[in-house]
Amino acid sequence: MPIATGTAAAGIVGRARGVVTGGHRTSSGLIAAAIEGDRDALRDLWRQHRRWVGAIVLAHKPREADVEDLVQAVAVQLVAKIHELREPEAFKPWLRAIAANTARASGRKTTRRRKHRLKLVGVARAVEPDHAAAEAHAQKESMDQARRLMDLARTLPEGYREPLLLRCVRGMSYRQIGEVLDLPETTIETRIARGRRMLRELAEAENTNPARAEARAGRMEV
Amino acid sequence: MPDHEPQQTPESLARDVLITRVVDGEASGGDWRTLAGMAASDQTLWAELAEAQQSHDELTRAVEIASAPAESVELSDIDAHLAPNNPMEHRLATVGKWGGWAAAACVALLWITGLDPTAGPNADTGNQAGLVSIGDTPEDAFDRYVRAGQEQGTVVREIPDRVVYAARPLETGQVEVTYLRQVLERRIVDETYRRASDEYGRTVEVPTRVRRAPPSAF
Repeated sequence: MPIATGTAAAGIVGRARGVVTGGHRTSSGLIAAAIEGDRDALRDLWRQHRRWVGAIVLAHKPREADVEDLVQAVAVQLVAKIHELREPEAFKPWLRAIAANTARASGRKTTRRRKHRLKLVGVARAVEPDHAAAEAHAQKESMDQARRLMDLARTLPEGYREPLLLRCVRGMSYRQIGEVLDLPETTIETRIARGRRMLRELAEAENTNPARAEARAGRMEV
Repeated sequence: MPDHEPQQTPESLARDVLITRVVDGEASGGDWRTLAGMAASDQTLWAELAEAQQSHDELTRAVEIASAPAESVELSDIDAHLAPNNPMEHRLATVGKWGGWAAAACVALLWITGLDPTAGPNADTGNQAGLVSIGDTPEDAFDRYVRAGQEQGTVVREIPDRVVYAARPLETGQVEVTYLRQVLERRIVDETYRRASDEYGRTVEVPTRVRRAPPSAF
């Protein structure tokens, strides 16, 4: 890690404009260094941001697409294009756009992939221990409900879907979400509030009319 | 702008924002006082708050699980892009990011044909089609491997049936299935051997002769 050595003097300037404060580069310093080709800075930068990239991918991907594959594709784009970024402060919206576009592009391959349904032969032995069956059943019901909520959240309009899912990533603050989406904190707060109301209304509508849930599942099913 | 603005009165929106702040731990002292005042005249507020908290917790759990694979994506796997001067490591690292044996097979073919898997479609590689390019899925890479192998005569075809090796329930309620994909390959060799043991129990290779058989079904 090419961090400046010596005492912990504040404001030490590291290689490639990576500003070091108390032994850690600031985010803006990392971005500037990464743009200039510092590999360590780019790796650190990616580790700081990949989790919310996963949430953006989740907000835009078709159900059958794999999050890890798509995040991998975003990482490839990051490596290939970081040097094109002119303004370090635009890094987060820029990365968010790459993630959203990558996930959307994967949807265009859906039709072709649907032709290749997985066909298996042979018998698999269940390995679930009996004593854990009840607990596993309860966990499954709870997870089913959580997953159903997430599926519903992914049907919300983009402007509500993204802040709502980002808020679920390690408690990202309104300010941090605003930086990614390039929006004021107050707008983020309002959209999360409205998004939650829409989500609740969707869930209630499905509870009173299970056919809606089946229709949604059918639309999302591979 | 969002794709669709929900119809909501200012009072209703203010109430939702207040609940959201509480759920997200962003409520100020003034927010709590406002909430208590509203709850005094509207008994449903606490129930709504509890429901919103539970809903947020469930959604957070699902999103955390679904986005967790992002944590396993390392740039070191893609680092070869930054150091294209090491062709062998470059190829292995680039193709190896997919991690499958099928991709590994592609590496061998690539090495024989001298194609650069990271070169774009317009790159002057001597083969317009290429085999693997960045952005391909493992399925795409596998299909290219089969097609290229068939063209070269080293791959006959993939056996359609996929054989289950193991199935394991996950905490998420899903099932992880591990299975075999079988590819029929063909090679032409000069000599054949079989393994045997000598008088000391050591494994030795003994030349064998393969008898002529009727023409292959392939």
